[in-house]
Amino acid sequence: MAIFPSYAPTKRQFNLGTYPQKSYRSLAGVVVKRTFGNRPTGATLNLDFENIADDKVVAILNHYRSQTAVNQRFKVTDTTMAGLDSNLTALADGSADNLRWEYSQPPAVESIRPGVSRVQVQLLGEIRDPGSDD
Amino acid sequence: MTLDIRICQFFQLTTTAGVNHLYQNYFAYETITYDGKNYSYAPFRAEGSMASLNGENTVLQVLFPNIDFVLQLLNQGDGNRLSTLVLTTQWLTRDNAYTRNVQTEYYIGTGASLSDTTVELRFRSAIDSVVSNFPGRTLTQALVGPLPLDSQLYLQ
Repeated sequence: MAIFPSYAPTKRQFNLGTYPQKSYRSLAGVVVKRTFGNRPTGATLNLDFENIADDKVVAILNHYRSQTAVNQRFKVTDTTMAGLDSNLTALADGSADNLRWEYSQPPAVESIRPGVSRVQVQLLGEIRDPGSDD
Repeated sequence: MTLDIRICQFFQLTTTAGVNHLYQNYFAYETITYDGKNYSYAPFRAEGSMASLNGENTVLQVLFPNIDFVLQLLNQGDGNRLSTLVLTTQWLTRDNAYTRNVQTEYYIGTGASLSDTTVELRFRSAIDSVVSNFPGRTLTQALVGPLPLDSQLYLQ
């Protein structure tokens, strides 16, 4: 499944990607930037799901397992971006820069009480590969 | 305003079997038409001396990730032996348009090496100066045999 499970997070934090550049500073202090590509990459999206039921935790963990097993990136749904207007959603979910998401690390699960957990997910936005991504 | 450098390299390799491989390394996952030819994206990097006033037999290394189409290139090209490479370095504007600054170099394949992550294609310059201690004689086929593709001439 190429789409992240459609659950609304209780906390969301994102950073836009950056262009692949190296900076060189001359002795006079002038900065020269060498740009290696025409697309920004490396966006981040951190999601917290507080007090969710075990079946949702399982869905997120299985999504992590299936996507990382084949190194296929994925999209997030509008539910993940709930509360943002359409323009901000396009920037935050990476679609404006044609990014797709992958897990930067396994989801962290914290047990709250029986059947209820907190899950933290950290995603990394990379340039969509038309050959293998959706 | 920050001084800005944007460079796209166009890689045109023709194997000994006559198969063309065209790649560029700047426009991610895009096929770019340049000088009438279509270049698909490949994340390669060219290293080594690319221009020399002395024209000695310089070596160029082109590094690719170890992925399927590069292996096909190697298989079709007899391990990159005696393939011909036209490497065009094109400077770009801030808007990724082509400037008038272009450098084109010609190379001959000398082989390749593979690791688990990288394929290194090795080339040497196609046109070389004759070394300074070469005998001051007229170069004839009788002296050196059929002309080689590099600067290594052997008197016969």
